Amino acid sequence: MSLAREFVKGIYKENPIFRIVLGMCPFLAVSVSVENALGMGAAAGFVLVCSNFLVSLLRNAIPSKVRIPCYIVIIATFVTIVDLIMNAYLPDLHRNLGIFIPLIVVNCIILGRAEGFANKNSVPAAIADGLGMGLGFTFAMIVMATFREILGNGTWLGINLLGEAYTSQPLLIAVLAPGAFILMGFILGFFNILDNRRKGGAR
Amino acid sequence: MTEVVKLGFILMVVAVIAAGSLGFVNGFTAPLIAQQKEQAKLLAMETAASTIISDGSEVSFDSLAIPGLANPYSSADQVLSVVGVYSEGHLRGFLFIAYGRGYSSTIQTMVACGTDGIVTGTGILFQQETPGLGANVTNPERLTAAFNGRSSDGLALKKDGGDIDAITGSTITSRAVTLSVRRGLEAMEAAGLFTEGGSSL
Amino acid sequence: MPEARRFELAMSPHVSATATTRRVMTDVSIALLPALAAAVYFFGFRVLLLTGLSVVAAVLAELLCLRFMKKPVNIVLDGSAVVTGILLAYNVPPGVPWWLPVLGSAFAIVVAKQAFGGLGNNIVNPALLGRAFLMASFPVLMTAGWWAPLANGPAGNDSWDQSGIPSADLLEADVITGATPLNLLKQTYTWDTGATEALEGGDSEGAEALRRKASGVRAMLSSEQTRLSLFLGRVGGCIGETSALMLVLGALYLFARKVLEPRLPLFYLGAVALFGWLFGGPGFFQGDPLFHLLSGGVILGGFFMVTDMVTTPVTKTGRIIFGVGAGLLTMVIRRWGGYPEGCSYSILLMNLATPLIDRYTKPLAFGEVKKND
Repeated sequence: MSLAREFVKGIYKENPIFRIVLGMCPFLAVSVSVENALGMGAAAGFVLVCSNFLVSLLRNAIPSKVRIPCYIVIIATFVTIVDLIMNAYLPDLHRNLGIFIPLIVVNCIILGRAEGFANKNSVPAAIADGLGMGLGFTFAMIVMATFREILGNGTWLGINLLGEAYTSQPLLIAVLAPGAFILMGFILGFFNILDNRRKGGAR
Repeated sequence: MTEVVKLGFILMVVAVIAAGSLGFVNGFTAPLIAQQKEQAKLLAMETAASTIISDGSEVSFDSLAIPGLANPYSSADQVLSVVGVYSEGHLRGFLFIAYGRGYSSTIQTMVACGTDGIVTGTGILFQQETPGLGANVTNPERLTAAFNGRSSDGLALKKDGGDIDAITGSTITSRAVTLSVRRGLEAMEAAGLFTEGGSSL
Repeated sequence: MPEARRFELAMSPHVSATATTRRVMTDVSIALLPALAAAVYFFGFRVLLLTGLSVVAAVLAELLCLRFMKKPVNIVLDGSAVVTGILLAYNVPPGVPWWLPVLGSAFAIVVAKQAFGGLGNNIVNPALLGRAFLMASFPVLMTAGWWAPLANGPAGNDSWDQSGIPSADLLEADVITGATPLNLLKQTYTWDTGATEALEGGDSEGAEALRRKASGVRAMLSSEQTRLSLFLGRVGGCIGETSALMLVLGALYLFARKVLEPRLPLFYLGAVALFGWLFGGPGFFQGDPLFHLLSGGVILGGFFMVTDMVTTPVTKTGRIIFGVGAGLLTMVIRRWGGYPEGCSYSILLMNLATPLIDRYTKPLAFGEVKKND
């Protein structure tokens, strides 16, 4: 179990969104633009690394009976720190992400990694895992946001790609809630096809 | 029994450390956040005031306590409060925030008007309307530019018998904004705030 | 060999229905044609192009999906894609750009039908979901593409407003020309609200003016002239929904061919009329049931979309619940909803409730004990 492997697995093989299908709430809600996706990915990734680090560090100090409340307190603390710092230094991004920053607390990926990985692995492995999972989450957010922003707004990271004619009459549903679900279905289907092909090839 | 105490103690330690670190972060971010908010508010007010006083002279604001000013907005936390815009010691106009319930949010509009009750400029402070439809309200060309130079008279959508063109496909949003501005102006007029040519305040 | 044939045995069932998917779909397509003729007469030949493109897109999308999923390609011959294509085109305004029905049909087939496993497995009516997709994506195009009847049609005559009321009458009533009769009706509701508000604000004169305007338009909507327009299809609306006469003709053909089961359409239309009379007017029990029946997509929906076999309950009681529920929702949306017409959304919502309705209305099999769950 090398550190590199712990890091890499989160990006594709055990991608939190496309594989484990955790953390859907921020994924579906915030992926309307690439800018928001980057901000959300960075915030969630930061919290993920910090909580993984602390949970792994304290894994022998925290009795298993009260581990979940302790994890939640740790996660909530980091989320609040991110919330405050973002509000102070990046007010525009903070306004866009709104309610979804405090909601990182209940992002299943973070508690899932704390419970499923960090509390039984060494500190370096937990940090590598947190970084990988954070990057995987950000990657998934960007993939989704790319589709939604281009289709629903004609832009990518604010740059107009498809011209004025498209922007004035875009495929609006892509930035609305139903569009997120439909695109999610297509993306998951695509990854399943990819997986089937690979397995078929190996056989 | 001892185990319960021990568990409780550990939880307490974790919580205390968490609270301590939060307090520390809050200590240095709170003034920044407050400053940020104040700045944003001031910027919005100055932008709006510049439509009243365009000669670039020094502008000052003062919240006005107006006897007999009714609150036209239904909710308790949406109160019509009027800010006077002064330049060189004279009252030149008013600012207020209009609250209108749109399709999916309460839209807040900063309205600037002269002492005669004629709207000089508006800006949407907050809205969460449907992207691509109601959210177009932030583009002044689509709706709010038509308010400029008008009093409350005839400030209604054409569908409702007024003179304002609604944003295509977003009647509810357009109606909310237009009506909220109109109601604010009407309440101020009823309180005797507007005068022909100048104010006695 | 002939000897052997004489003693051939067959498993039950020995009585089989002649209906095949293909036959049913062919009958439905035929039944939809009179409405297309009316649309061409009132809106011009462009509706033929739109409907054709929509059908071609639906069939192509179905073909591609079948190829992609490695299913037998001849499934496309069952004709269900053709019906979806026609119904989708019937649900868009005549003035939309050509790519709109194409996109809608493709979405209907790919997402609403094939993604769920093809005909028989779709949860909601594909054409209606296609329409909902277009409404969410292009609300401006979908609510602005209305054409006045006859203005673009082969007969060429522009003295009719889009709402089916002679333009002169509308001008006299000081009404901004409405897009469809239902848009006009929706406007009268806002005038009512405005009048109430004006009265609360102490402006009794303004309230009276608004009230007079609302009742004037309502009287026009209930006039013999408007009723005739609605019956013939001489009103603004979606391509295939305006002509009640032609749609009923098509439905009669389906009844004669025993393709349609009368329960669903009767209860749906009955519910629309009942609730339309109950709360479709300015006050309770003041609505015009005939207007609510003939306007918008109720007739098209009632005969051709409420009756979709795949997405409606199988039990008799279930069908009654479905029809009444859809009728109630249609009227609730018309009266209090954000849209002037609620026909398509009401059917979609009831489609989603279908498994539940079936579950609670399915008769017990012989010997089965009722469970207390």
